[in-house]
Amino acid sequence: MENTKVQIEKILSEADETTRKVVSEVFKIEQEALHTSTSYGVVEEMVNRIKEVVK
Amino acid sequence: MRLLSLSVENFRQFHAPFRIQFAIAEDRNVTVVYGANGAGKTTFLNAFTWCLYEKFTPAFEKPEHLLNEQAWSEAPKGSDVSCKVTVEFDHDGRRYEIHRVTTHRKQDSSEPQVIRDSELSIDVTEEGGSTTRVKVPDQVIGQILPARLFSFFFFDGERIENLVKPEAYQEIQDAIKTVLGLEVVERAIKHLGTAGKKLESELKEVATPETQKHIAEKQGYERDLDAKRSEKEKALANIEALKKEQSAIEEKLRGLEEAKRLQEKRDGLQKEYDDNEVSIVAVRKELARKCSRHGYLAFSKGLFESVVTTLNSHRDKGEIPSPMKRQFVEDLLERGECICGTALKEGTEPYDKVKGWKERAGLADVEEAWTRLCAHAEDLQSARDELFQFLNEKNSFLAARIAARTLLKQKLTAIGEALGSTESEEVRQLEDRRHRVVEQEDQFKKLIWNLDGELEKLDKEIKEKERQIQASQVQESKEKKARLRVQAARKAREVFEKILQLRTDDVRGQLDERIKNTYSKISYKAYTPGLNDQFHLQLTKAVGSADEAVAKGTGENQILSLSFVGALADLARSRLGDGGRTSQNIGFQGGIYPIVMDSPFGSLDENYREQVAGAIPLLAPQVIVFVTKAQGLGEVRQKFMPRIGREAVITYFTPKAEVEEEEIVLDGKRYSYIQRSGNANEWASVLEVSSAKK
Repeated sequence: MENTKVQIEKILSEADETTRKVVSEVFKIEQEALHTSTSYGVVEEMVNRIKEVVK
Repeated sequence: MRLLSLSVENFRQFHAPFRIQFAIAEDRNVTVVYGANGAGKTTFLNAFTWCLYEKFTPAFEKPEHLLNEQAWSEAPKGSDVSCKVTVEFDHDGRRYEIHRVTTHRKQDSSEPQVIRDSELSIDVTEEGGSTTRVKVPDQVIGQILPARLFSFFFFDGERIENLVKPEAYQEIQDAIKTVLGLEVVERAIKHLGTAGKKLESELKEVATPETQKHIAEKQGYERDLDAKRSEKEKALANIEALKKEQSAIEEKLRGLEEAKRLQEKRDGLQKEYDDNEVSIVAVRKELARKCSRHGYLAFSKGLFESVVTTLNSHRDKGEIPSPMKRQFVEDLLERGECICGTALKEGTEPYDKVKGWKERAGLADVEEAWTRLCAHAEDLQSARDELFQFLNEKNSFLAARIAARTLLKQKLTAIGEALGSTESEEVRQLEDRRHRVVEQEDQFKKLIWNLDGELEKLDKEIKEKERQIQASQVQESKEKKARLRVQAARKAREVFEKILQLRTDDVRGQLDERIKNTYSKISYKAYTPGLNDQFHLQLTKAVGSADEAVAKGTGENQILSLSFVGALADLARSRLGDGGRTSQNIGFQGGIYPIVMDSPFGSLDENYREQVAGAIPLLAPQVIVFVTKAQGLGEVRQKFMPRIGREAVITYFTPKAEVEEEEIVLDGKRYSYIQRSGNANEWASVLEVSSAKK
């Protein structure tokens, strides 16, 4: 398990700043969607957040 | 989740309302419910699954008829009759009461009118005692024990062995992902794919004609890919349906006297055949892995010896520094005497000869490199020998498996022919139908094989188009920005895919370890269970230096499947202890879960029953089992006894006057087991057993 956590951190640290930001935003969107048990509007929200990250 | 009680009213054969409590003590965690075949054990199990998930186990027939027939027939016209189940459990310091109700109104027509259909409500009582009604009840249960997991914790013991069948692999994989809370990652991957396509369409609007052309082509390939995937999914669903049909036909053949013996023989051979296939695939994979890593050694015949010989020859000729140390030669010259005793005086021939050695004496790093090279050459040589030994062993094993496959195929064909030419027309028709079903399955398998090839090709085309889009020229900043957005979505998706893979592999490994541990406690056979990287539950035994898949009997399958369930429960529990409830994790957060199983000993012989009975209390912190008295008394009860916290008996009231009434004796007390109802109605009631020991 520890080794996996280290490897995940490595994957994230190897990604560029923009990718890390997008990963973080997408994770937040999915967390929220899972809480409310819905997928409605998730893709649109993702597109908007990606556009905000890459202005 | 710790189950406290179950209340049932008008649910199938349970007419009168009853409430049963379950054992919750840590040291007495087992509740045993005894009931005759058909008395309502499966109904009991399905009362849980209906109430919590509105789902049923595969053995539960006619799930659309839940309302008790007697209650319906006795109800006056115009009245409402409800079928109700309440499950009470505690979880994470709160007490939950889950109610599910279906209400029908009796009217003039014979068809009941549904007033409330499967209505769910949940009351939650906090530690302080305040109770509130939950607004979105489905979500609450899903967060405590996700629907994808319930079938592993509430199940029919006789069918649990299905977990070792290929149809269950996806279910196992999904369960593992759920236990690890990876739905959020899976969803992110799926949604990022769609988001990426949307962003690409926007890029197409502002891109150069060349890029537009590439994007259009890529989108075309993607459409093809989606269509092929969907075709594959349909083919897989068809195979599953055909397999079910095949199982049903075989079940019928087993029930016919003329076909029973041959069908049972076929069952055994088919198991052998399937296990043999697993072995063939496994050994081919091993061979491929070894060849891709060490295959180069096969082409190095004589190379390492020749390198060492050549280098030695160069060193002998003085072309490579010798192993002699420079310092050693310098010491001899300074001392003025050679190791052979010859005086070394400057200007003499012996002096010059020894001095010449100094020039050729090795530098330290060259010396070390030389030693290393020689050692490596030897290692590589022995690795080459090992490779050939490995290849010989595996190829002999493979040849034996392929020969066994041919033989098994011949035997299976012979049985098919024998069944197809019996005197019984019914058997002949069933066998003919089975033959056609198997042929259809094979056709779908071929189709999937072709589709896999096409999918792989399309995947490559899409990647190539992606590369061309990246390489094509950018004219405006608008296009540049749009490209970066597409790229960002793709890269983020790749990150999520890597994370999913890593964590899935990790948890598979953890489960594999736990399965081995549980299995070793139950089975006395020297087999090694495991969950391989394809999520197949397997049993192997050591044959020489190789592991060979074993032909599993029903008992072994059942033990293997139970070990998996125990491992899953343990993993869910450890996830809770492993920081499942941190801000970084979402969705399923792990937890402590009961195992509720119907007929865990159904098809096991006595030996296995005792072993399984010994292991069941260890599978989860709380266990509820439904057994017949034939299965659950005697040695089995003795094994359970130290852990039994509560017991109950289902009394079955039969309308048949000729049926002999039966009792069950528990700790010297008699309880009614089968009783004549004295009228045309059939029903069941539940009685909790009181015992001083518990």
